[in-house]
Formats: sequence, structure tokens, C-alpha cells
Amino acid sequence: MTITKNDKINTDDATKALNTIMQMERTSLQQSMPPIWFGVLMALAMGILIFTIAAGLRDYYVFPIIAIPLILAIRSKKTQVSPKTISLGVTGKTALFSLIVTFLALIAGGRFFMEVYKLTWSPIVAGIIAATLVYLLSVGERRDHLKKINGE
Amino acid sequence: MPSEDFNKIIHAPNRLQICSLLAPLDDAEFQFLRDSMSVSDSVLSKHIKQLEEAGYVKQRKENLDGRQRTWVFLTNSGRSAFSGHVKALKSIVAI
Repeated sequence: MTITKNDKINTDDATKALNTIMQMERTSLQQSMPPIWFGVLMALAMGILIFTIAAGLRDYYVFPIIAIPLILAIRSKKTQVSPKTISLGVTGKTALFSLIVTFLALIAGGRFFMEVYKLTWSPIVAGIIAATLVYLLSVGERRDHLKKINGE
Repeated sequence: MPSEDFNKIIHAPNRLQICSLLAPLDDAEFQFLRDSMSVSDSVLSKHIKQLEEAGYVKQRKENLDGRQRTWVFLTNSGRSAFSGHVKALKSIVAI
């Protein structure tokens, strides 16, 4: 047993404490990992939002707009934790900006093909692409969480 | 940058667990902390109060569905102290 420089605890105690910390941090990370249903519901809501805007269905915008904060609230209530918010760096800001631009392009594209070429299914395709993007993002977030939990 | 300081307040087993659970989060519900640590409400309250007195955690109350929910979070000084404590433990293990 090594007496430490501050004579308060030995290496065994310190190792035990570090193990406890790791175990508890894993518990929190597991709890804050976005559930699969959350990714699916967010993807559905975003897909429907992009579809309704692209199709010009103004009376229906409100439903996905109400659904998104509701889904976030249900997640917070169910998981009992709020994941740590990170301040966005340049890469994060660029990624967010690109995502917004992609959504706007999907809306514009869906509307353009519907109005100019009379392709009535184009807003549906735009909605499906948006939903797929959101779902893939949620899968990526789950993967990041799993990496942290496994200490990679 | 947090200094490498062994922290007696944080090092007590239950308080170490509270800080470790809160560190990767913005905040957590009282019930989650209690269940993860397998302690009673009163034990958890006592330790949260001690951390609160040291300025390491804060609580906020929220009313939902007629029930009061308590959320606990680490303050900036709590995060810094916990990070310093972890560094101190790692340096002890490395000796």
C-alpha cells in the first residue's frame, strides 16, 4: 500500500474511486443515449414537416411543428436526464448550416418538381430523404454514445 | 483548467457517485440518482445538501403532471473540482 503525496488515501482507494467514477459515468451515458423510438419519431416528424411544406399543405404544418417539442419533452421525462450540451465548434456550425441548407433545398426541390414538371410525388421523396437524414443522425449519435460507454 | 486537487468533500463514496453521475450530463432527476446509487431519498438529500453547501451542485424544482420533480446539476465550480479530483486520483494511481 503506497502512501500518497498528500497522505490521505492509498493507491487501492484511488483505484476503487476511479472504478466507481467510470461505472457511474457509464450509467449516465447509457441513460442519456437517445432511444431508437426517439430517432424514429423525430425522423417521422421532420419527414412529414418537409413533405407538408414542399407540398404546400399549409393547414398541416402545425402538426409536425407541435410534435417535435412534444417528442423532446417525452424523451426528457422518460430518460430522467438531460444529455450534456456541447458548444458547437467550426465543424459543428458548418454541419448544422449544411443540414439547414439541405432541408431548404429539399423543400425547394420538392416544390419545383411538383409545380414545374407536375411530379406530385416529389414532395414525398423530399420528406423521405429528410426523414432518412434525421434517422441516420440519430443512429450516429447512438454510435457515439456506445463508443463513449465502451471507453473507445 | 482545473487544478489537480484531492477534494475531501467529493471523495466521500456517495458524493463521488453523485458527481460521477452528473459529470457527463447537463442535469439529472433526483429519482435517477437515487435509483442508480441504490440509496434512500434521505441519504441522497443529505449528500446533495452537502455538495450544495460547497457550491458544487444546484437543484431546480419542476412541476409536471401535478408532481414535483427535482433536477440536480453540477455547477461550474463543481465540474472544475470534480475534474481536479479525478486528476488527483489518477496521479495517485500513477505513483
